[in-house]
This record gives sequence, structure tokens and C-alpha cells, in this order.
Amino acid sequence: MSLYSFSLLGRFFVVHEETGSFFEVDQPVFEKVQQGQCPDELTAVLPEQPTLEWLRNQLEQRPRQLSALCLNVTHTCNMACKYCFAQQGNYGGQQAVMDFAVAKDAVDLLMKSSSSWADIDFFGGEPLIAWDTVKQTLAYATERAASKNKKVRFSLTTNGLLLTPDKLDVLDCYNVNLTLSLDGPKVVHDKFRVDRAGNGTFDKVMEAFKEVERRRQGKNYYVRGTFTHDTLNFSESVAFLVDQGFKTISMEPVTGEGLPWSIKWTDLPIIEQEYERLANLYLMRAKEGNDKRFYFYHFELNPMNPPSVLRRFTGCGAGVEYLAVDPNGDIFPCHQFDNVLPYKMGNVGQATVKPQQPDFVKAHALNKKHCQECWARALCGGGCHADSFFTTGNIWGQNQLSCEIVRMRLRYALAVNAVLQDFS
Amino acid sequence: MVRVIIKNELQKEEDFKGACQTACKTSATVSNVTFEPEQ
Repeated sequence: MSLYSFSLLGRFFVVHEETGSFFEVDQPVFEKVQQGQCPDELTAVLPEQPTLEWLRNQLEQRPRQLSALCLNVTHTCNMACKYCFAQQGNYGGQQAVMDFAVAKDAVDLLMKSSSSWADIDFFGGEPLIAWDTVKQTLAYATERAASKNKKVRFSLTTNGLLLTPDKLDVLDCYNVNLTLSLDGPKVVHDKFRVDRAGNGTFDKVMEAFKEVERRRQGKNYYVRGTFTHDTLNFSESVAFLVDQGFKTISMEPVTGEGLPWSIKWTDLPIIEQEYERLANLYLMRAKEGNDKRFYFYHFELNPMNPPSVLRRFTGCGAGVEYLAVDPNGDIFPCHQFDNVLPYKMGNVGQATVKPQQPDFVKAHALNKKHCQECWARALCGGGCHADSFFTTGNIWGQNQLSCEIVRMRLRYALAVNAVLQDFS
Repeated sequence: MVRVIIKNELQKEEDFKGACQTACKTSATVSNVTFEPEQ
């Protein structure tokens, strides 16, 4: 059994590494844990610990069904964000838009799965460029899911330029969860999120995004921002977005090697300060009551009904439960592997499609060397395959900087959830 | 004093469904596996 202890926000905490279970303790217990002991009062509340054999067997042998598809309905974009992993939308290839016939085949593939659940995500490029395909696919998938007695859930990521009220009417009708790309105040957003002519887009997208919040009142959308080496003050960006009325927010770092705007090791102390500021803002607003509260994606750990240990180790499901389809119908393990040809898994038009990417089944935290001793292994699930691949050339590799950021963020998320329990 | 904040069961009949991709879209690669509760 391994215990990890840390102190944050003036409190003391312990993580049970094998299960990711989390405890607040007093200073005497904390000090004993730091000395390598496990006091009786802590032992009494520790959960059942899985054996590595049981967990590995569950992860690699149990049937796992395809339940989520990302439809990259365009390989083109009406923006040219400098940090875009999809190389301004075309993934390093030709510009393309998915025909409905391809989307229909993709939906049929998903509906063949025995999963009782189907997630369909529209992505790109900018998916609203392929609006006709999106609209037809929403109708078709809804009908197919009903006939197969499956529950279907839709999501769509947009930069907002084409998000008009009439499109929003349709997206509302199908209860499409929206991810709205917005980095913060104009000066931050316009630094990277520019149109094809290089002009800032803040003024053009804000009106549409505010309309989403007006209609949805904090539900069924996320404002998703990105922070970079050049825009590290993300707590101020979150505060700005909250002041603008947005209630569900996510803010992510640009990692990766060799880009001027990617996060550097020397940025970590600033990022730590930013998470501390964000945690304090989050808690202050939560204390003021539900009408003042906002939700930060990484802090929402749902302590009353958390995912199981097995679910956590399963990770994001890429290459197994989750696949991506490009505009030509080619299938990849996830949207970030789009056009990475060694990982192509077939085409939705083919009679037989490779159902799983075997390497992705095995590349979990129990098998990754760098995860073996990490205290956060049961919480992060082994990290992002694409992050590993694009920084080390191998899905088994480690982006050490990403791991540091994830551990830092987890410490704040855990501490915030402990403090939140005082308010309820 | 020990206060349980999050206690994880080994497996659950009704776990969260679907993959999580809110965080890993838009910008360059990020390492994130947080699980989004159903809304």
C-alpha cells in the first residue's frame, strides 16, 4: 500500500495511491504518514485495494465496446489559431468536408456496437462549416439510436464564428453539449485565436457565446480556453469569463515540444500560483451561494459519486471505446491521431473494421513504466496517448512536463473538493 | 482526525459512460483524463 501526503490551502491531505481515494487529515496524522506510517484511524477507512492481476485482467480481458465517435466533419477551418494541433484545421493534409453518406456509415458503425450508450461528437476543423452534414447526422443518429434502444448523446466544439441563432435552435433541439473555444479577455483571446486574415475574433464570437449561456444557464456547455507560455495568467481569464456570465469553464495548457507558445518547465511556478488563485476564486464564489458559483472542469471530481477505480484506470478510452472518423471515413484512435497513418484502423465504408487498437488497450497506467511509482496513477489513468506520441514518438513515452502539470492540477482539485465539503 | 473526501469503489454497476474529450480539444496536446459527470 502506498500513501501520498501533501499540504495545500492551509490543510493536510492523504491520497491512497492504489485507488485514488482521498482523505483530509490533521497535522499529527499527516506527520505520521510523512514518516512512512499508516495510523490506525487512517487504516480503518481505507478502501479495498485491487490486486494488480485483477485490475490488469479487467482492463485487458473484459469486453469493451465502442461507445463514442468523434466525427471530424471538416478538415478545414475559418480561423487560423497559432496553437492549433490540427494545423489550422487540415491535420497536415488536404482541406475536406465530410459528406452525409460518410457520417451515416460512421453512425451505423457506432450503432452496431452492443453498448447501450452512444456519444457522437462533431469536431474538425470547424464543424459548423459542414452544417448540412451535422444537421442530417443529428436527425439520423437520433432515429437509429431509438430503433436500437440506445441512449445517444451529442457534443460539438465550435469557434463560434458560424454559431447563429438558427443553428443554435437546432443544437438546442438535439440537446447538443457545446464546447465553446474562448481563451479569456480580448487581449488574451486575440493573441492566438485569429481569422484567416490574421485578425482577432473575440468581438465576433462573444455575442454568440453569450447567447448560449443566456439560453442554457450554465448547463450543457463548456467555455474551453487555452493558456500558453505567452498567456499564463489563466486565473484572470477565468475570472473574466465568470464576470461575463459563463458558469462552466475549462482552461487547458498548450504542451508539446519546440513551439514558442508551449508551456516550459520554467513556467511551472507561475502555473502553480495561477491554480492557487483559481482555487481561491472558485471557493470564494462557491461560498457566496449557488447563484454566484461557477464550475471549473478539472475541479469537478464529484466526490459523492466518483468513477470507480476500474473506470479511472481505463483512461479516456481512445482506440477502444472512443474512435475518430475523418472526412473521408478513415478511422483513427482519437481526434488527435487523425491523419497519423500508422494508426489508421480502417474506413467506415469497409465491411470489416479493426475494432480496437491493441496497443491502446495495453497502454494503461499499470503497464506504463513511468506511471508505476506515480502517486496520481489511479486518478489520471495513465495520461493522454496523443500527448505521449507527439512529444516522444511513442504512446508509451512520457511527457514529463504534462505529468507535472496534471499532478499539480490534481492536488488543487482534491484540496478544493475537501474545502467545498465545509460549505455543504 | 481523518475525514473521507473521496472513496473509490473498485467497480460500479453504473459508472460514467462515454469518453471524456472536453479538455483535449482545441489546442495542442494536453494530458488530461478527468471524467465528466453526466449533466
